[in-house]
Amino acid sequence: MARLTQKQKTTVVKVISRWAHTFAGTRPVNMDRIAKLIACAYKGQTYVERTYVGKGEKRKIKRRNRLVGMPTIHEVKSPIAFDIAQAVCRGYLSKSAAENICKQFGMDTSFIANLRRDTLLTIGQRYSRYNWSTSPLLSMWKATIAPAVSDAIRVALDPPDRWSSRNDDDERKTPKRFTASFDVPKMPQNINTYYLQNNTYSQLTQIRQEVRGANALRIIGNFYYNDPANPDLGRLTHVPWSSNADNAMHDRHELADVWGERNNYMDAEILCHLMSVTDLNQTWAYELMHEASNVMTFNRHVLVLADRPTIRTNADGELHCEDGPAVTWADGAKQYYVSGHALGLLGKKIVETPEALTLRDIRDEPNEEIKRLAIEKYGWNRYLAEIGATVLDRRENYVDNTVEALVSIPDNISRRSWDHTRRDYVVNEIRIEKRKLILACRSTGRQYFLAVPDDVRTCEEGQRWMANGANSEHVPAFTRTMRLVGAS
Amino acid sequence: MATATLEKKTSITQTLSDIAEAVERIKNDAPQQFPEAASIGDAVRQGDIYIQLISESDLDTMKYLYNRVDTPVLQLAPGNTKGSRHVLESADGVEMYLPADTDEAVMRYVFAKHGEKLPAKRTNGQFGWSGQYFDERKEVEAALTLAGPIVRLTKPNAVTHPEHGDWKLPCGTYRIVFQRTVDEQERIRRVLD
Repeated sequence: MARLTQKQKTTVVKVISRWAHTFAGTRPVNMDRIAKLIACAYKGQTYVERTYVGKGEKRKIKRRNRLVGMPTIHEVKSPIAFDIAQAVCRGYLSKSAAENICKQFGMDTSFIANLRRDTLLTIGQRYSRYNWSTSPLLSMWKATIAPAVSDAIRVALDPPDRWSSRNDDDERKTPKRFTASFDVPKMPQNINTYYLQNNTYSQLTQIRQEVRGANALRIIGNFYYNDPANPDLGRLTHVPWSSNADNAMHDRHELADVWGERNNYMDAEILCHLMSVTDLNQTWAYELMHEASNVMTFNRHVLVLADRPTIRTNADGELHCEDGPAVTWADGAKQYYVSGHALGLLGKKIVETPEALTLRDIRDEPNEEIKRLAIEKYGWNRYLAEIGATVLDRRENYVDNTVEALVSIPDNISRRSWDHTRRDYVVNEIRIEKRKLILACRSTGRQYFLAVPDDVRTCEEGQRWMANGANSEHVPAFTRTMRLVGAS
Repeated sequence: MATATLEKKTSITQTLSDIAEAVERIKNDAPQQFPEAASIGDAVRQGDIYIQLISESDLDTMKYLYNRVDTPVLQLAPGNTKGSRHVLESADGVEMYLPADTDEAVMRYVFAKHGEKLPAKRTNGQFGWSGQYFDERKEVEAALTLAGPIVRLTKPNAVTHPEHGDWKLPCGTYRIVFQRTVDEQERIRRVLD
């Protein structure tokens, strides 16, 4: 790995410091500069205009390259508004449906009126433009100072959770030693935790892509909404994410690529500084990401999210508010957090109106942490009494040094079975006794309410069942029963 | 009947009180040490994951089911919530193997285990006669969905968490397993927090 000169180090520190401030949200929104950068981005861009010529069998598509003009900039004020706007512009959502969805989130709807259906536009692939990902400089960059710069970025922005070492250089394995010699500015604490928890647009799409088969209605970041059964909301969560959308999307989080191994916009900025490239037509890509967190480009329109939310944190720097939303966006979108835990759908009820919590809310919540918070607000005694819980077994858990209990809860469920008489499936309501474990965490003191199968009879059986999910008699290494010797 | 109802209430109330009292007495998130003298199969729990000591030779028997990754991912449980942040303290001395996430990998394992060759693929990309060893494959797939990475530590390490106590791990090979529960639709899934 090449050693950096003092000038190179100074440039790297300067650029990293600038990105640190960008992530920390200390930069005020400047729409004039954003407009200027977008003008540079769209300069000389073309799109393919398709027109149909002829009729019937002789109908043909005529394609012609047309220059795009300066687009209309639509500024939105929250990631969920961005999500709604892109669905409208891409033709997956009508404006009336979009307004309906905004009402669910308690958001201002004024941004919807000016949206127009348009075609996604991929920007930045013309040969005459400096293209970071295909430039011949890339090989030289990778072979020389890129690794040192990548490590400096990681060390400065402190993403410990996903930082991975390279095995071919000792210096990379010891970030502390590297920091001391590199003098990289220290970021505000928990900046990456904040970034992850802030649910920027990339988190919205990432979550949607990762989850398969789950209830998509719940996966809208952590934005509280009123009616999960709203069909328009369902349409929003099923808007497909195509490769064209990926190309048209400029996301600060992804393009800065703090945790990745590939080249990123920070590398590009450092290289441009070292080469004294200052022309905005060359540098607009990363400059735009300093100014705006999300940009989506269309032929005649561009969506921009530049605003920052108001956030409230606890003494540990975690997103936290006990009497209202911890994250509030200018258009009214709200996100609720307690001690860094995102509360999602039940956020408002848990934090602001716990008296509105219902048994069904608690029963349908899949996240155990949110369920625990909801039960605490509802009242454990009250909750267990109202669901008719009876204690089947209790014991002292000598691994955790806690007490736990197995309770039985009567419930009616619908089960489908084959009726030979009717020669068809029928749905019957049957009464079952569900089993749940009431456990306490020895680290935090919190109580949890975890479901186990109906045939579990004792606490020990329940604990054993929960631990042995990855067992299989067909894989020798998976046949060993979990023998717990400690817990935290 | 009134007595039975009162007894039931007392029992629930008393149980809740006992649970709360017991945990307040011992509540402690101090780091703990995985026993050096632990046997193969011993495990510790950190929140909703289990860290089980396995034998080094176990990895050889799980060809196709686990793939080694060049750069270990330090977060052991998937997810971007605070509760998912079970994170290795250092990537130093860590070899990581991630469970295969394709049906083909499980098929290869099961057929290889029975000493048979994988059926040829049809033109549509599907395996011919994919019904063979169906139950066994489904069981292995189900087990893999709750299986986390396997980490081979050549240097002592620790699994950290923002809320649960850390676990210091001596050198060895460990398998991460996720805690499971039943949802309202009676489906078995990983505990989500």
